[in-house]
Amino acid sequence: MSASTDGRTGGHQGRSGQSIGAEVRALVRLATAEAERRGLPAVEAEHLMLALLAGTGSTGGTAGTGGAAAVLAAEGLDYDTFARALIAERENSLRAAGVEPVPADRLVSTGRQSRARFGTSARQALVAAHRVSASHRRHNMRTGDVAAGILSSSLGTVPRALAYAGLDRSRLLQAVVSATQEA
Amino acid sequence: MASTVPDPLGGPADELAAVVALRELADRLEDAAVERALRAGWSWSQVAEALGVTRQAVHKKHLRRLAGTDIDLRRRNVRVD
Repeated sequence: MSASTDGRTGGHQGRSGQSIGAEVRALVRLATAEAERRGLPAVEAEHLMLALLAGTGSTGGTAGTGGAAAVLAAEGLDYDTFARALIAERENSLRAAGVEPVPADRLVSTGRQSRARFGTSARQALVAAHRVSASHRRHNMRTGDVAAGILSSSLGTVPRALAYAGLDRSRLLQAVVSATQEA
Repeated sequence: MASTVPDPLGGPADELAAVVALRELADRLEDAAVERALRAGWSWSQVAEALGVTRQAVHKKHLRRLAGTDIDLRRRNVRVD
């Protein structure tokens, strides 16, 4: 699976036989743009989350099951909060190795021409999302399922960023799952 | 071995996250540093030598993304298609 493939083809069949709907394909495209904008070679779970949270603004209502982004925003997780938390996570992680963060202007470079590949954490988030979707016997995977898939991971960048933002991952997951069940 | 889920912060989680952050930082630093060196007039061979890799390796990783910039790569004996 690659970001470009998922983002461009229609009716992609997941391993459970479910279809990734237009909603999730658009989410993957947005996540790919988030990774590439940061000059990163791979789309990871945090980029899927950024893409999902971007829906809280003017595009609100396009986010799947009753608006997963709106549910998360109501729990205190919006795009800006998460973006700041990701920066804090990387800075704190570098300091754990005794490395001070490098000023942003020292990291400016011309972006890569190739599409960002789909990283392991993003892949695992979508696999988990498939499980959530299948458990509700739905044909199409929705963004709410992706939100649950991302939040089901207890270790790594996303849970660390949430912890630094002072947010309870389990509570966010519960809120998303509840909204998914109601939809 | 305890089967409880470890905390995402502190201890081994911080050490492992440091590895992730350092890899990401190294990649971004390389992109920026190679570009600055070429803008400063360094040749591909000099950049490669300073990085301790082959010129082919530097080409493969950076030529495509820098071919569309205003850096004059032709003076460095590199064919830009």
